[in-house]
Amino acid sequence: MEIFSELLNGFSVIAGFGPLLIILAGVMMGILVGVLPGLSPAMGVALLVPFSYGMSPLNAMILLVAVYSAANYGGTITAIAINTPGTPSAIVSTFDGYPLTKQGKPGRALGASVMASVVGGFMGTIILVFFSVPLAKAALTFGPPEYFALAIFGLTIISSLSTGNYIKAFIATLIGLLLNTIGMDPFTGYLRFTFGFAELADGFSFIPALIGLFALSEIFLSIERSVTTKEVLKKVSGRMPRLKEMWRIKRIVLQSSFIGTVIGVVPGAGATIAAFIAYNEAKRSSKNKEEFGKGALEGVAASGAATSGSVGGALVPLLTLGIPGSAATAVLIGALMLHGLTPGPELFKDKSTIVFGIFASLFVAYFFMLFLGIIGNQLWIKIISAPKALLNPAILAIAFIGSYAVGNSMFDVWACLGFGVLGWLLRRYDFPTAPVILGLILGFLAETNFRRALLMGDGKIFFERPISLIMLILAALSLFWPIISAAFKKRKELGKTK
Amino acid sequence: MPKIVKQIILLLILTNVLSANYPEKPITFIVHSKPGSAIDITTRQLIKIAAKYTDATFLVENKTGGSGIIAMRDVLSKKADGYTILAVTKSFISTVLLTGGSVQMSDFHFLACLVIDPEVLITNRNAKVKTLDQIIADALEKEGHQKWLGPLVGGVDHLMAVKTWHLLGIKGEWIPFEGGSDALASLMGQHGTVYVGNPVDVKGRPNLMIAAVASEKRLKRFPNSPTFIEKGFDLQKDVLWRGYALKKGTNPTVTIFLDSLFQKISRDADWLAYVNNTSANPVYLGHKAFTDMVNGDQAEAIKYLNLAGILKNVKQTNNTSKTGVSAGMAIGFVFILLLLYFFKREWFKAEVVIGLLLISLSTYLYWLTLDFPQGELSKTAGPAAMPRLWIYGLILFSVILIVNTIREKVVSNLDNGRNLFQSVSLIGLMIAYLLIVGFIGYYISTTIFLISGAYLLGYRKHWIVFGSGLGFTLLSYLVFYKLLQVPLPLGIFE
Repeated sequence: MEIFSELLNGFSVIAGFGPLLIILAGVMMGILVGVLPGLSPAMGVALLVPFSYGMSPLNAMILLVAVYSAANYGGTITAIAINTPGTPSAIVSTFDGYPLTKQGKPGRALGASVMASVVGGFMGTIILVFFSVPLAKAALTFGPPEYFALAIFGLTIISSLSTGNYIKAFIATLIGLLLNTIGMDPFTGYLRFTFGFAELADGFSFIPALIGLFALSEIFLSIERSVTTKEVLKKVSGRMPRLKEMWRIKRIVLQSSFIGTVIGVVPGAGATIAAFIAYNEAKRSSKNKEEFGKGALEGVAASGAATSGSVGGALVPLLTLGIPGSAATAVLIGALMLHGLTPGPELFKDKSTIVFGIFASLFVAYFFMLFLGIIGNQLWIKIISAPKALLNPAILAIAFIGSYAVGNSMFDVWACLGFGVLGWLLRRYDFPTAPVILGLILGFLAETNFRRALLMGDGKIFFERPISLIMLILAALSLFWPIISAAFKKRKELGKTK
Repeated sequence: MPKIVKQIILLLILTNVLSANYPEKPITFIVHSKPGSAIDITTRQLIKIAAKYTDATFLVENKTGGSGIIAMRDVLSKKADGYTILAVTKSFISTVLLTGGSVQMSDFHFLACLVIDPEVLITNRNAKVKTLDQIIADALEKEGHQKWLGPLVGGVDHLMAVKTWHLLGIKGEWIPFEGGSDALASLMGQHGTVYVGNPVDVKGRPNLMIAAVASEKRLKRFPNSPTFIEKGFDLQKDVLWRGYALKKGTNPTVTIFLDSLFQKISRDADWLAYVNNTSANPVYLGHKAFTDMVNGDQAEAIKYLNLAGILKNVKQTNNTSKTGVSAGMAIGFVFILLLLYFFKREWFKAEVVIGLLLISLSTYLYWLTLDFPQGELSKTAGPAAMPRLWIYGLILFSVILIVNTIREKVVSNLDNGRNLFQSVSLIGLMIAYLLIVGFIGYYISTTIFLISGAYLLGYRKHWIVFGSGLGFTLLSYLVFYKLLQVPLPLGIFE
């Protein structure tokens, strides 16, 4: 097998003290970037591009790839610890991770997250090494109708995000979708609903919205609902989940890693959609569905695995087609070019040592991540054990930096506060905020691809292409499934009582 | 009038004095796109090379948003002292024209253009239509339904397409994507026929080829790709350019300093190697030549934006009686609430109020969509289509929510309100925090905020409060400013 010998060769080129130290530094930096809300993986990579100037191309690339892979994991830490997703894809980790923290078991959630992330990362890398060419080809068949169908399928996840009240979940989604239409219409250049604010020409930045809807709303709500103001988390336990427990949920971890990788391959879909879909599938296929949203280990694991899996996935189109699969890989393309490397199929031919060196470095990076993650967890647990009265203002101050760092603009900070108040008001009246985010993520994908597809053909185009048709049918089933199954249940119960 | 003149003279003297020792503090390059984009990397490369020729410190700050309008406004909001340099690209012309006049290209002093990149038509090597002749034949056959892929409507590449159609006597359909790479992926998947871009786009992508080049001669690296002029079409000087500009009115000593610096950089071997590596052409166009090029491109952009029917859309916006209608709707909403409160008290519940609020807001937004253009470019689904769909949905579900609440299907057993006062005060404190940041900067205001926040939430161990407040600020300084080089606002201390 040629690939194995190439991979071995890859390991041999990075098996020096220098490269290993670079990977370690990259992983640490990546976790830091991930943990800080507002610094997305893409920004983390971009911030390090200037540092990589002086390095050899291989060392530069393994540094940046290590940052990228660890940043995706790092985001889940703050999501679990303080309900503040450090990166967009970590939103899903808040669903079950933060409830576990509130129950005093942050160690379980953080431990499950790092272990699942490492498995996801390994799986993503293995798929990247062995199946990148066919996967990249498949990704190219995704045209506008398929992207539209993917967005619609993604939207149906609301039925699983809502805890009981579908109407409120639908309203929250529609609020997100409508907020998403603010800004310049990509097809005509017309400014929609901007009310004269130039800052709104691109719509609301995503990260401030995220921080506001999750972190700020949680602080405002928890203060309002707390019994005593000096409340400290009772009995915080740093205990990790046992390996046995993780083994029990192996199917969900593997399934989510796979979903994460495959969706990561599709350019423009990204880690966030991957995490949402993996979570939804985990819930659907789990035996303890009721646990989801209240602190299910499976939920935390699904999110972590999918997020990390998407890293390997996003590198597939980058290395085989020269097309970035995510925002961070777009920066990687720039970095490759700075070092005189051109991403694409020729890279495999001319510079295969570098390509396989990068592959090998990913395996090493995930190994370091496991190690650093387990040590780091104890530190995070210390931080969340701090009195809420000190922790909450500090989170607000971090939210400030995070929102500001997105575009160096105070407008984003105000937007973050606005979303915080909106999220607080929504949650006060039992409207879930996760669907708002889902609407914000998918609205753009849905609208632009819907209109693009209509420019390419008429309305029939969505049903004439097999992938889009299948996804739309799945979406319809998934959307109405709770209603259908509820109807069945009712009928059954009625039958019993009679 | 004399007062203004006096002030101007005073300002000139002041800037003269100030700029005598230029540069004496870090010079910031404002980049309009995200870190890692082409112009961002070019600029970061530029400052690395500039370090060879001057002791001055340079920073790059990304002010993203509005296709560059935010960055342009940022530079114009600063003093014309030469410490803020704008990285400019040709796309700014479209941005300025499409955002309707709040910023003009003539507000800037164009220092130097350092990179030009010829525009090319790119096709898929595996497709049936791949040469210029085939493109023309296919376009005529498809009668305007040939699909051209590229970035957003009204941008440089779209205008290039409009110009090409005009000069070639064909018509195509512009399918806009969020960015160039999405459109390229679509071309690779053969979801369209032609992509408008630059030579760098085919680099490392053996499935793609250049069908025609808009330069005077064939490109050295692509000897097999014909120019338009060979085929008899007058498209020979169409380039995407990148350069640097200052706010107009900057002192000449500053511009002379920077001009000589840019000249040195443009001849630097590392710089030439870098630009060549991106398949673009390194050039040096000084102030005069650069300004002429910008003016020429602007005149042309106006012509083709009109031809494409885009400028028309921009002008359609009318602001008549918006406040009146908004006020009317707000009054209507309050009126309904009052009616409810006085005559149907049992219906006056949170969900009903929220539902009514959403319905009123949706109606208001729907009314705004009536102004949205039905331009030529949006013949299938215009800019109003999706917002209206979501508005219909929101109204529908709000009605269901209200009906369900009244019929008591929605049971909300929430226990809010114990510490509502504290929550609201914290929000108030945060508002105050954001307001004072502009004056006293991030570091001081954050320390104050953290300390007062802790007291507000009932914490009384003074040493810990002060210690953690200062500690957090110090930590954020070390991590964000020192390690990650994220600039935080400094207010008057800037």
